[in-house]
Amino acid sequence: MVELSLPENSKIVEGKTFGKEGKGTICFNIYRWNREDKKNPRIDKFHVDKKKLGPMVLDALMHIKGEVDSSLTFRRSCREGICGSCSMNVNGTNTLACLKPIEDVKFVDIYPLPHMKVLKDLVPDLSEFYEQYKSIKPWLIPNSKGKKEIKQSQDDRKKLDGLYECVLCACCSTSCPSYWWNSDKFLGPAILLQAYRFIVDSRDKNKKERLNFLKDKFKLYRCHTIMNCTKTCPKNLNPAKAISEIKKLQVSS
Amino acid sequence: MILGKEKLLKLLDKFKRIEIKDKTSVWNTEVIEALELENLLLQSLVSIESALNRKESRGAHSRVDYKKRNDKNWLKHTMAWVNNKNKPKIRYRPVNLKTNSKEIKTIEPKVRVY
Repeated sequence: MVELSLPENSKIVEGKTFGKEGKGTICFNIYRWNREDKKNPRIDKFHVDKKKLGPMVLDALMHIKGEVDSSLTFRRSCREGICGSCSMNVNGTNTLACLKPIEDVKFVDIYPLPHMKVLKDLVPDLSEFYEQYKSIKPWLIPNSKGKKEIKQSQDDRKKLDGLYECVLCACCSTSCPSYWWNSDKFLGPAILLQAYRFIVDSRDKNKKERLNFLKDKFKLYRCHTIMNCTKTCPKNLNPAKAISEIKKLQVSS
Repeated sequence: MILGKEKLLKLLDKFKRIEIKDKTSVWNTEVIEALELENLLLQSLVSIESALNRKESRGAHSRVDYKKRNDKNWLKHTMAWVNNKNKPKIRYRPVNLKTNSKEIKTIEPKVRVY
């Protein structure tokens, strides 16, 4: 019989409790880990008075960092869903903490993005994700070397709606089982949505090369239309549709 | 503004007793935030000190005790430095009023009225 065991220090243990449960409190269970204390990751409980919190989960995190435990670490910047920094797993769904309202519940579980290497607490290592983004050449490649501006018709511009809004928060990619198992070879929904954004842009003249780059067993075709990406996207975009459009273009052109 | 300066000096005094609870060396956002706080406090101090020093109104710098713009005394930039005793040193630099090209004529400074 094959015996499977988890790597050392990978089991999550119970952590510290801050504050007391009471009337009008809400409990945040937050994943904590840092490489320096050589301990297992733990779940810290924070009982916080709901009246002291702003409307969003990110407000709660900032309240905890400011008033309760200043060592809590997470990415954040714009606090309005534009920068894509505060992506994390809240109550089992990947989302942007700044766009996720604190619901009328007793517990909120907060974990880093699943299946990513954790740097500390809620901060995942996104280097590979950014490398993949770089690989699709996310810039316009025109064919002429003229200095003139490249005009775009309103209809052509419309093709970019639902694509350009992506903030690269990586919520979709890290919710995708295919990406969990093959994140080194499969590009993942976020990057493929971006790839499609440049394929359909009328100002870009590199369509053939872009499609050829994706024509490979892994980069594109590891997508099995699981649709987790579309379900989780905090900006309500549809990466699965973009991927299917690329697949269509692969057969038709 | 004087009230604001008093409050700010109190905050600067409080800042001396700052404590960092997070002792880790990777992704220590607490240290970064403390450094940002120090910078903001010092920037505020030079801003408020320069504003108190500039006895006129000019653009967004608007004072009730000196309502008019005063080109005779204040057509100059303020430069400010802070030492560790939170006492800014103020010096001035002349404003460059001439354009660098012959094609565009120099425009004489005048009061902006709407």
